Amino acid sequence: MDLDFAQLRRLLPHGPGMVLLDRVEELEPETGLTAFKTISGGEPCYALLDGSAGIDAFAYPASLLLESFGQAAAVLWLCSTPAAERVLMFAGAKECEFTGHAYPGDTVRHVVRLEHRSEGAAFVSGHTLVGERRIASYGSLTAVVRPRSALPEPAAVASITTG
Amino acid sequence: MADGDLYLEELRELVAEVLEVEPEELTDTGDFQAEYEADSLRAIEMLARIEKKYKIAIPQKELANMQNLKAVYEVTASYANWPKG
Amino acid sequence: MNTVAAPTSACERVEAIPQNGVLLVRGRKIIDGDGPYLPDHFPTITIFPGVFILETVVRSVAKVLGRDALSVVKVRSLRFLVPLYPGDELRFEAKVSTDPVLIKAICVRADDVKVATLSVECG
Repeated sequence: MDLDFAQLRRLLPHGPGMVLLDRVEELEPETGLTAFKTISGGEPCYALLDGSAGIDAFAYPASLLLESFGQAAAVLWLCSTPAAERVLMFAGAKECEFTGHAYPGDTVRHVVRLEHRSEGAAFVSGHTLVGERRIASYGSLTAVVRPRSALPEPAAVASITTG
Repeated sequence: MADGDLYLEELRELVAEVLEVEPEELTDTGDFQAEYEADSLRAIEMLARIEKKYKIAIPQKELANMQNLKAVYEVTASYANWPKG
Repeated sequence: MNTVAAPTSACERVEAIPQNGVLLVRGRKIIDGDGPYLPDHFPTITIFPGVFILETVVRSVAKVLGRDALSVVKVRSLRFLVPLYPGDELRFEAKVSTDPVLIKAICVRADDVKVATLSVECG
């Protein structure tokens, strides 16, 4: 099964500027998928770079690569489980390595494997490539399922209401 | 009862890894939250690892009954049909 | 002037204290709901992305080390425990060693509730 960008935008709860995936291919529910994202120099993470910055400064941040991979994992989970009023929260990661970089113009390819799915969580592993060059590997990523209504109170609000 | 001991020790290693302590430091009745700084995320990880290792499914609600190693053994044993410890 | 791409900023207030051969680094930042990406995470309720907590700590450590281009090379462990919302204060305390740069940090909110822990290597 393949998913185009319009389908990804409908599937993920993220607003458009935070959907860090362009396309999904080879989606096998309960097993895995391949996801693509093309890096663009117009992205917000590059907006504050000094005009004299060389190309090294445009290395796509590892934090965003991790988030992009996490979203691919969320897509796999959402397509493996009946839809419900729930939020998938990125809960953790272990043993990830970032061995290379992606730059504007590169298309990153995430290969995601579902390791385990339980009632309240999903565990995935995988790696990211640019062409045939592996730039990241993820030992384990954890996402936990929360009903939307169970999101805790913001601390600022909680302290006002409880004194 | 030898099988039960083996399973208990397997669980001790598994839980110790999740809690990031040495297996020797993990007592049978030490409360995970009070003595090993466990939080709900570690509890979920522990449950998932047990499910995956023994190929069983344990409902999240059982986490309330899995606050120390002995309790974890008992809940796991009932879902995996092990001898009672 | 920014010399490296980042989705979020370092803490404005960062201090570094040498202690027993490592550097104890502390920082605080109020979460700004209008920052880049945030209105889209999520449209119904804004939550500070967990990976931005990681980025905040790394950029803050880079600031005190004077190494702007510091980036994450390995994530040993990253745990997000409680969401942060706009207006919340993110506080972190990190033990940092250099050569290689290893960062072990605990992040809390203003009410001392733990929000994240991380152990990463940077280069």
